[in-house]
Amino acid sequence: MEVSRRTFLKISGAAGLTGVLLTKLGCAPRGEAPAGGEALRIQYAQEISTICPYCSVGCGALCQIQDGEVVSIVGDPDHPINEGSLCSKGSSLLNLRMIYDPKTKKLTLNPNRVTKVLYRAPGSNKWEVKSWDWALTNIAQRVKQARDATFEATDAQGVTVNRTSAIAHLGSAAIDNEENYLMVKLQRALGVINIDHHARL
Amino acid sequence: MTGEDFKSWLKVEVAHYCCDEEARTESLKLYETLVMFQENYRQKLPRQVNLSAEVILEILREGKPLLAVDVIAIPAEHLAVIAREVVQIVASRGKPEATLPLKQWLKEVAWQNEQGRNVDMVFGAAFYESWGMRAAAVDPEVGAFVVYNILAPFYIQYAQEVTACVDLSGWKQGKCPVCGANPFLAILRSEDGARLLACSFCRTEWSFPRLVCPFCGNNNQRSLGFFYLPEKEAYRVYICQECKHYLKTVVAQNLGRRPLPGVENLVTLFLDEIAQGEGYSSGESFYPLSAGNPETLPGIT
Repeated sequence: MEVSRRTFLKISGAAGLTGVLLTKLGCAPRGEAPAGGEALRIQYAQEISTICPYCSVGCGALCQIQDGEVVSIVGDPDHPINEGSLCSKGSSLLNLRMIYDPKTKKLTLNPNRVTKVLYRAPGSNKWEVKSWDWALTNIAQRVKQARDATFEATDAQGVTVNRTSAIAHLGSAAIDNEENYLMVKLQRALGVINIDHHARL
Repeated sequence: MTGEDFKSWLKVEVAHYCCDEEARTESLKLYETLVMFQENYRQKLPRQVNLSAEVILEILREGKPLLAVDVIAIPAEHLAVIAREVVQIVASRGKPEATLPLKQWLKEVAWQNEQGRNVDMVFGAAFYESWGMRAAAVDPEVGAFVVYNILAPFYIQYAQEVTACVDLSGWKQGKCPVCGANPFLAILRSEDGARLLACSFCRTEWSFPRLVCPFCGNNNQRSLGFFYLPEKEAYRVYICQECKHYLKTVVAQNLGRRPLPGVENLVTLFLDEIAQGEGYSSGESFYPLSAGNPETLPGIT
């Protein structure tokens, strides 16, 4: 967005010393716009709130979005948990997606960010790019194979247990109550008894 | 902050910007002279607040600005002295065609005790008529400015007394908790980025969420936003697509020091021009000032 440089003309609607008023009084600033070039570039931006994904504290953060891309992430001052602060790890949230390129002195997409499904076959030392459909189908098939192969309907005393000890589930610190509920529901339905979380940073 | 601290701060800020850009000197000096006078005079005023801290908090809890309930007594003898000085200051720096009607008005006005209330009632419909400014052919905008500056010491003193005894952090509205005016400027605090809204009338500052429009309460993040000039990152203009109002905002961390709202407002008038060119209007509640002639002032026929 470009705005042509103009001297101060018409500004209305303020209580104190406004442009119109100053012009009427004869002491309006001349050429109020900042110096440097004939055109002023306006940059629009949005602030979108989010939750830090790193740990179970759940700090609030504000993402500054410009032209559809996040350019800055800061602590949310109105969030009751962190009141604007972020820990050293949370302060680097932007680097999940963007990194500073010292050559161009600009933010650029983080080339190390994994954005596709990568698969390394048993015995292989190479990663293969796979589709999400392939990944989900394979995970489901392997979970079922492992469960079916190790499922115990009863224990040595004949007590019904309906369990498998071949699978373990490690939850996330960054998910909410409802997601935790669904995850545990799924694991219990499968007969998984080794369920834990990683909220121990 | 004591009155002396405030005056020192004002001097430093005005000197900083006068030094920075000569073109601003006249307007900044006018502002400084007026505010210095108001600051000195308000300290001579009798105590303005007669409510206990408990009653004040109760009024605020009901969501009402204090001056929607309480009344400031404004004695005629103070009005006359302040008016004389304000007109003299404005006349000393303004063009004769704008200030001569003011001097004429000052000769003719008959002062009487006033009862100040919230901003809409002070400036609402009738100030231009009842203060005799229409009869003296005072420009309505110049007139409103003068009225504002005559009344400001009473409101500033009232607000200072309130903030000295009550914590305003429980106030969650976009308008001033003391006088009910809409904010004219916001500050993003250095320490935590919290937004403080500033009242131009009584100089009260209060905190307000960043992702809510203070003018219409819109909290849809998709229709809120801001713009800035990349070469002036200390300043942002927050906008609301719902009510089409804007609010100039100083990012204290980028400015590198604590901003003084009145001065920052004055040195960022170019942002008002840009915001209005982009189709937004100021959310300030001093609506008489937004009108160019008396015929369009609300309630004045």
